[in-house]
Amino acid sequence: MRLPDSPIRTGFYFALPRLLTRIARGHSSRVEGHGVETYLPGIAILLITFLFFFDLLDTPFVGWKAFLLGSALLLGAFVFWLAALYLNSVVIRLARAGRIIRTLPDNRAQSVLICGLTTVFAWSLAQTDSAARFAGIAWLMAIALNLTAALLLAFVPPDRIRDE
Amino acid sequence: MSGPTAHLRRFAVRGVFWRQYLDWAIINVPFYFQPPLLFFCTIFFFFFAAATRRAVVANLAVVRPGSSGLVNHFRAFRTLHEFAWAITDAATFKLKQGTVACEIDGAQFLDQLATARGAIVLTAHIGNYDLGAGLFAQKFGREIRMVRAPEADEKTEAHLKSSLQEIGRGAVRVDYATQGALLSFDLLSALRLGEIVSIQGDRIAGAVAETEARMFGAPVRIPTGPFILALAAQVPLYPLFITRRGYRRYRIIVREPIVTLRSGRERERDIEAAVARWCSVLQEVITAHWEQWFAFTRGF
Repeated sequence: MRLPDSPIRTGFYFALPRLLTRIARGHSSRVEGHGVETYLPGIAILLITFLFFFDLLDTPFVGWKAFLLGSALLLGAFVFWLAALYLNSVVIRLARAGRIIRTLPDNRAQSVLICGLTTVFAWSLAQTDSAARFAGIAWLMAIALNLTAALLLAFVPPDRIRDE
Repeated sequence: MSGPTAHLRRFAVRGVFWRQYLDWAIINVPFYFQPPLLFFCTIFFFFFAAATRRAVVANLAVVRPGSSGLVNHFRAFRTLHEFAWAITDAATFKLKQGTVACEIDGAQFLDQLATARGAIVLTAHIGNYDLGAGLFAQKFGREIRMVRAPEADEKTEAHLKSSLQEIGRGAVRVDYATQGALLSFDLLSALRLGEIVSIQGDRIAGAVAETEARMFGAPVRIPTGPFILALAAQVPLYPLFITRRGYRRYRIIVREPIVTLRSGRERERDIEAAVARWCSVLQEVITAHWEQWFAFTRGF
């Protein structure tokens, strides 16, 4: 029994898994809350941000000093995002007042900022010689695939589609 | 109170700022960025809500005997993290009209409760108790009176009360256990009219009637209000809990109703028997879901 009927676990939020689902099953729904989608992107964003800041510092620390610095940087990455989300919420409010944004929900507008900034960080990481460049490249590939999937979804005939 | 002190109180651990920030985050932060946000917020509260942390660790020492203090500190962190998720889900349900998937353990008792003419839902600070009342009211189209202990901070309480009413879509009415005798008569009258009253029976808050019972082999203080009320109104007590199972997934646990009959003996003996049954159910649920027991005061 469910209270109330829930679409959770029957669809995806991001375009790439939705496209794959549509190819496999003929239909796809846009819903929030799939387990992998809930946890993986957030961890990936924090990781890219952390690596970007770590790379910026270009520190020679090793051992416990590196661990301490890493912990501080992880916290710094989190605080950075708190500030970025807040500043962006102000920008969104202004854009709404100026009727630049009308129907886009706040969290989707924030999503554009989060993914945009992370992509800039990933692009910067991908240019380096460190092992962290693989994380940057992986993010860029994921973004490219997701955007391609979004385009394909937009042009595939909408029969049997139940986008929510 | 006004002035700088009152303003700063908003930022205290139990201040209203954090509830308002949560509401802001639900609207502004994409769902996939919420897990790291909750994780870091849990770290923050783990260190700054020291009294709460110590209470959880002290309770865990009884609930999970034989564990080291260090292990119980990790468990306390997990408990606070679960709490963060629980209040986030409730806020999402309120602000975004979200849905949660629920499965029921004890469906026959829930059906009985849904059609009961007067009943007490006896619950505890376990899982998402705030969301539970709202879900019940919404699913069965019944009004529910919820008796709870007020928050220490007035503004937080006002925010929480309004949230509960929004979650229940107007079908949840909040009363406070500290209101005294007038509330008892009001609830008795409501029960006799066939209404459902929900009361938390795992924690003493303020000057309420209480008795000593045993849980996990240790003495524990249990409020007797729900049992006296059930005895007076001659209605059953339904032990009910809503535990979190994953991202927006819950399990409603309903156990066999506790019937308090006037046996002709002393009233205290009838109440003691009911309290002992309640403690047995509570112990079973806390054992299985210790990480979701959010009684943030020392219980033992």
